[in-house]
Amino acid sequence: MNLDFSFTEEQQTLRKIVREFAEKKLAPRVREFEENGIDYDLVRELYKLGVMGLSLPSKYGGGDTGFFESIIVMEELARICPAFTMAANDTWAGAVVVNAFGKVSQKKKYIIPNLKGEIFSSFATTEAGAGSDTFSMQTTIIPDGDEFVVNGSKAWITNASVADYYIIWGYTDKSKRTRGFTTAILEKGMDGFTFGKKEELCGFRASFTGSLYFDNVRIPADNIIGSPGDGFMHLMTLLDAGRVAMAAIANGISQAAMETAINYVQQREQFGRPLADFQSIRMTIADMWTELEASKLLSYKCAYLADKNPMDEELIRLASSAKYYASDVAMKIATDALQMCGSMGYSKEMLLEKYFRDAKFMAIGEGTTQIQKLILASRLLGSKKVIL
Amino acid sequence: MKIIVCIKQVPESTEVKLDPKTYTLDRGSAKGIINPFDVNAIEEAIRITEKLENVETIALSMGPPTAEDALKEALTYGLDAAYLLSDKAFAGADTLATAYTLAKAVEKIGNCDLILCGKQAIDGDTAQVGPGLAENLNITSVTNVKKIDFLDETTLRVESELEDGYKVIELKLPALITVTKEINIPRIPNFKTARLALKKQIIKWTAQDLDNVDVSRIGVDGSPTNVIKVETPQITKDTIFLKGTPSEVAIDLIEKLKERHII
Amino acid sequence: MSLKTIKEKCTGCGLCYESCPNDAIDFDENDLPFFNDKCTLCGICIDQCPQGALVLEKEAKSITIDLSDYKGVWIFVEQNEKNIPKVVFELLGAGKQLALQLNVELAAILIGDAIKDLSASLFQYGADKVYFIEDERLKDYRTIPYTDILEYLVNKYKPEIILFGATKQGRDLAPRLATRLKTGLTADCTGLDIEEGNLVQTRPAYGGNIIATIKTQRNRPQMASVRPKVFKIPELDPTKEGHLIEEKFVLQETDKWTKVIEIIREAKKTANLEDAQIIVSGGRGLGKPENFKLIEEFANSLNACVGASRVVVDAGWIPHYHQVGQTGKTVQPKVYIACGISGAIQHLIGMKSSDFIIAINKDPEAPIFKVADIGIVGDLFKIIPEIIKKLSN
Repeated sequence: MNLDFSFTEEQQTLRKIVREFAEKKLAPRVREFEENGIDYDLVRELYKLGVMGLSLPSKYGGGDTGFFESIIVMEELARICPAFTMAANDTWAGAVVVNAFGKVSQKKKYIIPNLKGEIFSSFATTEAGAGSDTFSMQTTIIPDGDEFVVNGSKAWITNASVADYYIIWGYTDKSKRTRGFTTAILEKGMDGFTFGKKEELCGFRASFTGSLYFDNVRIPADNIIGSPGDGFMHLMTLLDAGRVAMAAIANGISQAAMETAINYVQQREQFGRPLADFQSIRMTIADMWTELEASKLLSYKCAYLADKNPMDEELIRLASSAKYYASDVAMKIATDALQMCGSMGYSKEMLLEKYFRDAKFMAIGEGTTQIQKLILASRLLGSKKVIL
Repeated sequence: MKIIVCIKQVPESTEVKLDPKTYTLDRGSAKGIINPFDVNAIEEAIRITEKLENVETIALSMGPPTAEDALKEALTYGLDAAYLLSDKAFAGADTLATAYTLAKAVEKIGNCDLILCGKQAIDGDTAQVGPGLAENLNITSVTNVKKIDFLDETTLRVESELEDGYKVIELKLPALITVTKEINIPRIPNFKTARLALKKQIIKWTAQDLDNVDVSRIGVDGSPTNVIKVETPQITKDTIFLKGTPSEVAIDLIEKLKERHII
Repeated sequence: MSLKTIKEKCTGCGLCYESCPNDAIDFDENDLPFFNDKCTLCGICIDQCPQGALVLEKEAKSITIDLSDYKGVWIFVEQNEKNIPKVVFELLGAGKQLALQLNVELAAILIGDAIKDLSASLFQYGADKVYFIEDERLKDYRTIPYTDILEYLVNKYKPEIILFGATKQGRDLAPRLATRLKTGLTADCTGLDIEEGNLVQTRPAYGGNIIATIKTQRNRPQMASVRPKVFKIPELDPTKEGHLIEEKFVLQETDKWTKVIEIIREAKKTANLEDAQIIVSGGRGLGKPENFKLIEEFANSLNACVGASRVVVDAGWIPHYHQVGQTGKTVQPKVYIACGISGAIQHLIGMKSSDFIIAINKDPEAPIFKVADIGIVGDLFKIIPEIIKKLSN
């Protein structure tokens, strides 16, 4: 191992820039976004800041950086608003797919305007009947002449109805099972492509989560990524990055909750002294910090592995670890932080109750904790049969 | 056109952080930042490059070696180059000596059309270096500017704040302008610009590097004002806390205001 | 000049290290502090050392000019369209005290167009002499001609002290002149005195965290700018007259003079905060911009002006001209009521000289209470309406 645990000057500058944006422009609007949804103009400002799509080629407007830089951006944004972070990240997730597996004409058509902030993407796998059991999805993408016909639906999709183009997965040939699985691009406005209402969630309330409905939507062959049947390989490759991204977001939530608690217990006095003087508080603060550091290190190692070799077996295992560990830590820190701040923590005067609600989602979205553990275990126990 | 932006690195501690118990400077906040008004000057320089053609922008600072961090940060906004004047011989300079030293650097950089400065530094709070620099260079100076417009390549129309309004002034380049916070809201640096900036070298000059320097006018020797003593004022007040229900507190307060003939 | 540690007095307490804003103090093998490159000779550590173990070593410099050549205390009289700001009269009062201590004359310098008659009030407030120069080209203040004229007058009459109001005009003119004359200028003084024939100038620095005492010992004239309302306006003596002297100076207008195109006095959207007697200020504790109405109502019920902390101005809840603080306005009302303001140092700098400070905040630890005469710990949304209600009775 060539270990260098320091961030480069460039990475430190990136963190500083995103933090300044998050504190000046995002922080004052956190409650507003929770109530009224995200203002996507603020997402566009992120693009103007030059911090979106960094890992994509500069030829298309990216930054030619590694995945690490994306982690930094997500940590800093999630420290202020995880819903905004997830929605913003999703707006160029489609570009990642197109860049990894699309052809040049598709890259020019979608990635370039996406990284200018002119169009936004959404990444859609989940269905009402296919969550953890991804491959039981019902959406079909059937060839018909020069076109393909899409039928089915997707559920719990971030940026639904806001995004301009949607990367979806469906079956071209169910009999071929995972080899009949296809990746396709749908665009808002296509005939037969409609959206469901915004879901009311416990946390992550700012981001628009909704359903997609495909009723005989006809797409040109050019909207298929790669070839029909390539979808399984695409999805498997992409999911790791998604897991590490979620880990980064969870770590951001943990950071925010921990900082809030640390500041509060130094100010709040009971029994004649600051809460920070009491041993039980001290023990918990130590635990928070240690667990968060460990969680961050897991995610940083994943980023480092992803930059060296995205197909690395260790990355596949570690990504699952990083994701579920970070989710557990976030829930624990958010809970403990809220508890430390007592009634104030429980009230909307502080943001802890929001961190608490947001943290809960981390163990569910982008692969539940249970699934992550199964994936990891199956790789550790020799059997490559992954139950999805 | 060549624009020089003068910046100063100041301790962040003047911005907010005092130890809440002892009311003294919290050392934890000894981080250096770019003087906030100078950030407005940097932003204005960048805006000028966005409005006009062929504009070169340069950051200049006199300070200890750590001031290099401030210049690095200044470059991330998109300035073209940065110069650091650092030398033990410059230390202890008051505003007269500082203005002289900066003037020597400006002369050496050469062909400067416009100098932008923040109206004052938040540690010294004197607002003297800008006009002093202009005087050394024998150029026009206007202070407290909240708007700059170019009528043509060499003529500016600016709005300079007054206590109860502002005046509109027309001036010719070369000139020095000090700006207020009102002039603009500085951008957050674009990361792509910042990355390029990190690759730039900051040019460092000592007293030796400047031409025709009269050493009796730099540093301590060049400073007619002397700090004899520095005290940290302790504020002690016997605060009277009013207690009770909002209604009781309100009555109590009004009594006290009556006692003092305020109402 | 350098900082040195007196070994015998140092107890190794580390207070110097803790208070250094520039991270310039390190410790050697014997645990004695020494000063690295980052030292700016600000002197805070010298003040903080409880043992007096830190000293500034200066080489005594020779004085090259004959200081006794310079006599007299001068006040620069700012006038805007023939209105003289109050600070000028305050300076006449302060200047008089200095002149008496030095046993010299107090003179006022008046520059403008057709401003001769303003001299009457200057004598009445204490000036022994008034020097004036009139020309229609001097009607509006412009940096270069005013600097040129003052330079000429100073070289001719050699005053030992010149005071300026620390107004926008004063802080534009004084440094230009001081640089022209290669002499010392101390800005924003909050105190002036004479010691051994030298002007002793006291002023805040580091955002008001420290008070520095400054002297200009080897140069003349000693120049200083003084903040409005630091000194009191002296007694007016309507019978007092003085010596009015017209000076002449050949003016040659150049590009460097600049052109004043227009002067725009802004219709007071709100009364000038700096003149307000009562100010009610709101801060982050208000929660959201709509709640500023409460502050406005409160202010109205007391005939007061509305102020704000920087946080809410930056967040766009209220325009900048309401901002009280280091980068906003410095105010000295009779009463300052801080509502939902935590009391960050940059706000305190702007208002801590108020005569009577009342603070309402739900956090008992808020720093604002350290400067408050009256503290109310509680929910301002409950307390302020009660106060407004009771006031209307």
